[in-house]
Amino acid sequence: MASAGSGDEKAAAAAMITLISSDNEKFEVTEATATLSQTIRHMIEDGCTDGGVPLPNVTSKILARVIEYCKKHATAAAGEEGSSSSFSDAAFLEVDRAFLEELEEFDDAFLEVDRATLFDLILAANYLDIKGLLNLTCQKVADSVKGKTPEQIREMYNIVNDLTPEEEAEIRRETQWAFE
Amino acid sequence: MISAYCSEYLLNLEIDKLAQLRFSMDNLPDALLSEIAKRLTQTSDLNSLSLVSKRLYTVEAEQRDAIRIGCGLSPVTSALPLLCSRFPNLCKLEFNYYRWKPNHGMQLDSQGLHVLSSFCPSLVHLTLSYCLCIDDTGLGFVTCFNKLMSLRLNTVPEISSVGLLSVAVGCKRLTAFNLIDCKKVTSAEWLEHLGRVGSLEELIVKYCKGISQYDFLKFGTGWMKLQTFVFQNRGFLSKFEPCDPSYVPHRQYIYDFSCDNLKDLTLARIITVPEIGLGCLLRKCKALENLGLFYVLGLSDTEIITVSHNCKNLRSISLRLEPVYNERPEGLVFSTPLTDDSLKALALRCTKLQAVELTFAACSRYYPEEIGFTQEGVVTFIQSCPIRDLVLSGANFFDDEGMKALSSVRYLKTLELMDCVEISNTGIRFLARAPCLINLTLRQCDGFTDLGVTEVCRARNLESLVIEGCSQVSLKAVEGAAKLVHFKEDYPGLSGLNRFF
Repeated sequence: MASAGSGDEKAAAAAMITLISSDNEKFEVTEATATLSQTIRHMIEDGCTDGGVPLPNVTSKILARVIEYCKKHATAAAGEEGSSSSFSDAAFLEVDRAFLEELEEFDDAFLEVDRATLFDLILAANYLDIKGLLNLTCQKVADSVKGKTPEQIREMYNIVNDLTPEEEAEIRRETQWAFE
Repeated sequence: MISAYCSEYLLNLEIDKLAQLRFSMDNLPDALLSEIAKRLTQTSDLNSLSLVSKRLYTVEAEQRDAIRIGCGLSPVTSALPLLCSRFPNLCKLEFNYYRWKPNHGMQLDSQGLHVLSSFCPSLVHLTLSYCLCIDDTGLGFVTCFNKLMSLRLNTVPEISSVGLLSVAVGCKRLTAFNLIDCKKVTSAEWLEHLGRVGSLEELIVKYCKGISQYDFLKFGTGWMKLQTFVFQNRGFLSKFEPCDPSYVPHRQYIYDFSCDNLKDLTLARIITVPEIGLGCLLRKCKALENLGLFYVLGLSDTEIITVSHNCKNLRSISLRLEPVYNERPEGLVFSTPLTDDSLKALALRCTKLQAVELTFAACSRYYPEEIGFTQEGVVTFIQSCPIRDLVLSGANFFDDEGMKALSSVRYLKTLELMDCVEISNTGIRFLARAPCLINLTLRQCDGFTDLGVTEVCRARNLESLVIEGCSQVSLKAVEGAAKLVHFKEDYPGLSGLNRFF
């Protein structure tokens, strides 16, 4: 992007984006952080981010968490790019590992939320098209289902059983031949 | 919005309800439900999901693209249409009749494949394992799957070269082909044809007595595109001389093919000398990343040195060796083939080597007298490459000194020691210092005890610990010592691990 202004300050300011949550709270973030969202990236490319980006589907509480995620992952991505050229192979491996481990720890801590928040994060990740976050949150739900009975899954996620006993028996009969 | 005049009680009730609603998985759109279902890999979990509600049943069925069918589905032919309509997006199917008994009912037969081809025309991957009722007619129907890209045949005893030829002619998009333990397959015309089509990227042939290594020379131009090649035989080789029926001394034309894209190569139980046999691959490959040489007769340092010169991208090497008579400058020596010279060459030139397996089969503490490699050679090798994954098996020469050196290997993440009888508590304790070690497997080692192993576990915070057949290590001592502990009292043996065949 050509910045017509002069000096670093202006360039830095130009790289800031304002995100506006459904409850009208404003969040200032760098372009690098914001563009982890493909939805926002496209808006920036189309030049329609002046005056802020309204996100009517995301509350301030969830948006704050999403930004927290994007900030961390944007820095990690920048760090990786920066280090790949300046380190020898072996040293790079080391840096690489440290990054990944830190990121993993962050992700684990990030997912320590109640189920309602987790679903809100999934919806936000989907709406904002943030692949990493969608993957992370969906995986968390998938992991929570592993090894559970249908009844346990219903209870955990408030799902109403609308299958008749006959239908249930039919599905069970259908699946017994399949194996690991 | 909740109106302001609501009483506080009602408001709270309302909020509770809202929270409940937001909790419900029903609030996610179908696309996101399938994102979640997609991440479940265990069939039992997918089955549970399909029993939760009508919506999840549909989402799961639409999302499921792979199923394995075993002895339980009978009669199979009439069930197939139902199955295909429940799972409309199936692209990967495996029929596996391992341990099938007549009282399980009819297996899938050739007619069943015909039915399948009309109800599941978009099948991309098909595996038939232990299918006793599939013959060449059945293979003929396989050609009806227009989109078929991979075909894996494991123990399908009735099929012959004729059926395979129809597959080679009919399945134009085939990129992966596996043939395991199919005894009736003899001539290799199909192989010649597959080679001419030249679409294969993966070719795996194991335990097929009727196919010799020389048949693959007819694969010709097919080698160009191949990325994975595995050829394994079973049982001991009775002759020590290679005998290629097409071999004419000093006329190498049939060996004149190139395999520039070959990344994964495994050869097991073949006899090869520099001029004859599939050992020639070791001189041709430039892109090799993973190499497995299992009990290859005629293997010598020269081949490994050539590999080290040619294959700069080698990431893993697995050498399984047993003692044979080797011609050395000092005369005939009974030992495992290969010496420290091989290791030196690999250490010097293959700087990306991350995974190494060295297995010495049929070697005991005093037999043979010499094992080809020395502890010093192995240690220098391990220290010069960025090794993350190491298996040492039957390494009788490897003792506490060697363990000391191992503990300082910077990237070592996964270590397996099997049948390394010289390692005592002193040696195993050194692992407490290995900076990156997270997976430890100890098999058939009697030299160390609970004491040494628990000390390592306390210091290392292991992800996984596997103990099998170590007489001095008890379940009680290692229980809970790592995130994942697997303990077995019995000796697994090399054949139990499928490393000796």
